[in-house]
Amino acid sequence: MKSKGLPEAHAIHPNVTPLIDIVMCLIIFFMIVAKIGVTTGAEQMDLVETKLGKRIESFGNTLTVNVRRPIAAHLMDQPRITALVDRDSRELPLIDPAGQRVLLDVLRRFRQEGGTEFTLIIRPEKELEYRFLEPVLIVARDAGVLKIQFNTKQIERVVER
Amino acid sequence: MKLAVGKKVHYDSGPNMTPLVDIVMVILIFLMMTGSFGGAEHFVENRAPITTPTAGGAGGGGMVDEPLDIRLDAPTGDRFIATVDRRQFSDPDALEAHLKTVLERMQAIGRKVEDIHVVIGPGRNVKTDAVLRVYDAALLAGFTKVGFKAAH
Repeated sequence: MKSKGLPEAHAIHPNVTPLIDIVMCLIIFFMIVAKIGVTTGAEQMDLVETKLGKRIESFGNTLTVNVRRPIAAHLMDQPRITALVDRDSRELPLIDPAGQRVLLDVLRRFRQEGGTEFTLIIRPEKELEYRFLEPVLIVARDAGVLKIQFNTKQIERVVER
Repeated sequence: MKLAVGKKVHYDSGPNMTPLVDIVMVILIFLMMTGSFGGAEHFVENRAPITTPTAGGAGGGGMVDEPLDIRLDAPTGDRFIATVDRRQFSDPDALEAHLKTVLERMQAIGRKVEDIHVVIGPGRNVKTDAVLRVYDAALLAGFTKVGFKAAH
């Protein structure tokens, strides 16, 4: 009788099943928490730090405008304003070379479509002078915008014991 | 003499998992790089519209009494001076503490916080950093109606 012994098994490959399980869990986690493809038109800039503030859950009825110092010599009297309008990042000058009040027209349109709940989110640069922020606030008032939010960076409030 | 060689036993080691692990790792790294956890940004609400001389100097909300004016100047680029009740502050925390005292005094004489309109009047060259920090201090002090006026 031949005794057939099983040849010695050599485990040359590690069991990757637990690794795949954990990695899949991580992928699902990051897919849920990541905000990919959701853009409000907010651009990278140095924002003011404030202690007070709240989060906005829905950006549905809002328009985010980035307000910066002017860069062009011929536009030194008005700020550089950009926003995502109709899925397109556009410059919205206070007054364009043709004399059109572009920002006012856009805000009026959004205000008309969004009603009283329409919110204008202003993202001013930290180093922006007030003389460039002031006209944006005036245009917002003239357009009938009732809700304005300043987008700022959160700082930790120091609690003294 | 040929030795009888045992029939090679082939153990099915399963599908090759290496490419799957590679692709999964790439996807994971992609999601880690592109995703964000919401960042550290938040939003500060402004309910009082800006007041300008052409608008009659009145806020859009039926201001009842004289507004509480905060004049904001910037002697140097990185400093600001906020003047309230003829007192000057260059520190937002000190300003907040003083505004709290002012509010308590006002409430003690029967004024309601919703009737008090704080108006911040920055200079033309005051940085937004200072403007919003003073605005923040006014809100933290307990005022609910804080607005801006035209630059001086």
